[in-house]
Amino acid sequence: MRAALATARVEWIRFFRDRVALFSTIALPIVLVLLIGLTFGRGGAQLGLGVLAEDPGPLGTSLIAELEDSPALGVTVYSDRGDLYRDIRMGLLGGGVEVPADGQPVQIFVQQASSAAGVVMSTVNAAAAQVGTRATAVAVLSREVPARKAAAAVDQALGDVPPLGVTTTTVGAVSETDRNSFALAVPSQLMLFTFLNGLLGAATLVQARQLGVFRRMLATPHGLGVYLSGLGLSRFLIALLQAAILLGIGVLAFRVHFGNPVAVLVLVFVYSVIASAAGMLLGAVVRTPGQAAAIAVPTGILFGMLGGCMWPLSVVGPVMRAVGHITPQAWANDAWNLVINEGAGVAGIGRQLLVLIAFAAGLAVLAVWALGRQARAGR
Amino acid sequence: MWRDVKLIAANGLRRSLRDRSILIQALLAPVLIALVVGAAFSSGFRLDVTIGIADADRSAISQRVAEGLTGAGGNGIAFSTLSDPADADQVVDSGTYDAVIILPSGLGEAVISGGQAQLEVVGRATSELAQSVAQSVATGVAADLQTARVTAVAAGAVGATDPGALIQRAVSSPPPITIEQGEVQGTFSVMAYFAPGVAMLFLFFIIGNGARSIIVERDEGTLARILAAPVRPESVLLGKTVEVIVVGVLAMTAVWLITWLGFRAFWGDPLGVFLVIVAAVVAIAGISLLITGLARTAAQADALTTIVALLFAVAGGTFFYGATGLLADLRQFTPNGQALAAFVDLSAARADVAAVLPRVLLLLGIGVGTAAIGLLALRKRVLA
Repeated sequence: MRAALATARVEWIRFFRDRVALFSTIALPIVLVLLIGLTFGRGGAQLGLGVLAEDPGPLGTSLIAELEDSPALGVTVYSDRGDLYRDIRMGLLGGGVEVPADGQPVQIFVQQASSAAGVVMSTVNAAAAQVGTRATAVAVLSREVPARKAAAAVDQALGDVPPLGVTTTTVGAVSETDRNSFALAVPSQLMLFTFLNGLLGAATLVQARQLGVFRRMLATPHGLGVYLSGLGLSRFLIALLQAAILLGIGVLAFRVHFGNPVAVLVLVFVYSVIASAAGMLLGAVVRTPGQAAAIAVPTGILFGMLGGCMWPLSVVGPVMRAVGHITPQAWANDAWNLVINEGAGVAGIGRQLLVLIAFAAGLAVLAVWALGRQARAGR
Repeated sequence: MWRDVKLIAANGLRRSLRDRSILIQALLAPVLIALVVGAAFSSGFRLDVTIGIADADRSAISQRVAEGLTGAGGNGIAFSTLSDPADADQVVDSGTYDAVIILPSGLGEAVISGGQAQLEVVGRATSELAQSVAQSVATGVAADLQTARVTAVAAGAVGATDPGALIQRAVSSPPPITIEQGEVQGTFSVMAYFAPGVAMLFLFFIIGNGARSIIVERDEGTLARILAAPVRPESVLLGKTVEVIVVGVLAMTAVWLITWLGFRAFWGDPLGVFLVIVAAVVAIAGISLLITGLARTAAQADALTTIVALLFAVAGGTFFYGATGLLADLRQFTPNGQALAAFVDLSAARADVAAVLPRVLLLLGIGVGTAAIGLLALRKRVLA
């Protein structure tokens, strides 16, 4: 035990001397949490609407003003059609409208396969109906009386008739992740980076193999097991440290309510085992430290994408959601969602925890087996 | 001299192509990541909102409104009648409906008399989108009813002979602003965004590795042996520079061709795409040479390259394209962000070569400028 702890201590010191490791373990996740929380947390449910209007008439100008007043839309004026199309295609805008001279139809541009299309279309239609009240009433009345008299009567009526309003009541509570964008950013970056750094830890292991540390350990009375436990322990503690920093920032700086602390603790604990075991396994199968890094970064990003760390799995189709669940990240994400938004405790995330424990055990057994094989083969 | 440059570049290139790590980072990773993103977003997001219409008035007018709405819908919005308005909160909370529009008691009377009335929308806190749609629909209904009310009052004021017919005409006449659905031109493939974005991230590592090999060769003593031969130091530096640029251009072009021809992710005008690829690689190579020139040891160069690459990737928008605000502003200050903007212009805005030329020139300028400083520093410190 003492030997394992001593090994862990040495690895821990080596880690803190590595500036890149410190940067990618501590600084980068914090920068990303900040950027994502600040960027995607603002603007609420407002959808972007691009407006192209070279020379609108009075009706068109009123329509644009009405759209600008709409709480559902954030209006940006465009002068270039290509730019408007590009931003709609990219999803930066919910849609666009082109307001020509009065009398010509207003063109509405939406991307069909987007949730924004319905909102944009109904909002623009509503705005057009609001703007059209006066014009319609004047046109209808002008059939009976001269236009000027009709217009005067309609303007008088517009002043006399109280507007027909819309009141809104909202039921239920906003979920923590909807209320606070950091409640989503912190756990997703935590999972992305603890796993990525766990994998990057493989480089140390390969280096040790190359330097013959394995063979030397086999020659000592402690054997390889002690060395590997120490190494695993140090990687596990680094993952825990990383998680603690991110969770601490979430709670203290961004006032995130992560929910049941015991459930959070168990989840972080099991996930850290997964991250360190995955790194040990990678360390057993690659040949050089360069190869370890070359595989670790793309694998970490890919697993993060599949598992819902880059975007919530609720926005992808059922097939990709099912595929995503081959990764531990997806199961951990489900568990985080239950703990943060549904107030689940350890029992509430029992199923997810069981799967995650199976991942952890499976990876650890595989890693130990593969490393033992390498050591016996003298590599 | 040029023969030496060619030999050194060709030798480096041969070694790079044999390195499996480079193949994984330069080809496999960008293509795989782009495929996953493409698969995740291929079906797009669909709106699926059911709005309940609760008629608490049951007048002729409110019934007509309710019937008109339940027959409408489309674009992912469905309307259906809710029998008891008192249930509105409960059915929205339980998720049976995403939102409910209540036509309040006394609405028909208020339309005829011009009195006070309010339509009510009940939404769910967790479904802002549905609430927003319901509010828009209710606003449209209110505006139509308001048109009828204003027409009725104005018709009375001018002493119209048949106000009822006028109201009917006001309600049924085509709106003064007609709305047509236009076609959004151009295409945007998330693959054509993420593939170059991720490729550029890994190019920093690969090119950085190539540039760093000058320091490694000095430390291992091979550089001293090369320089002992009749080879000028400039040839070594130029050879290495040509090597990393060729590796970068080959790698990114391969990613482009694989995602374009193999997976139909259209990146835009081929000549424009190639120019942006070359310019982006030159910029990344220049920055890598600068880092190598300024670093004291190979380990320091490695550390700096990793940090710069990851910071540029985050700030340049490699992982999220739909960002606005801070991230969108930061993006302009990174070479990969500029290159991504050019790629997006080419694919989504169907830009031609001329339109992306300013960004290409900017990237080339960054590349040449940083490379010059880096090469001078290397000449002075490593090759001296």
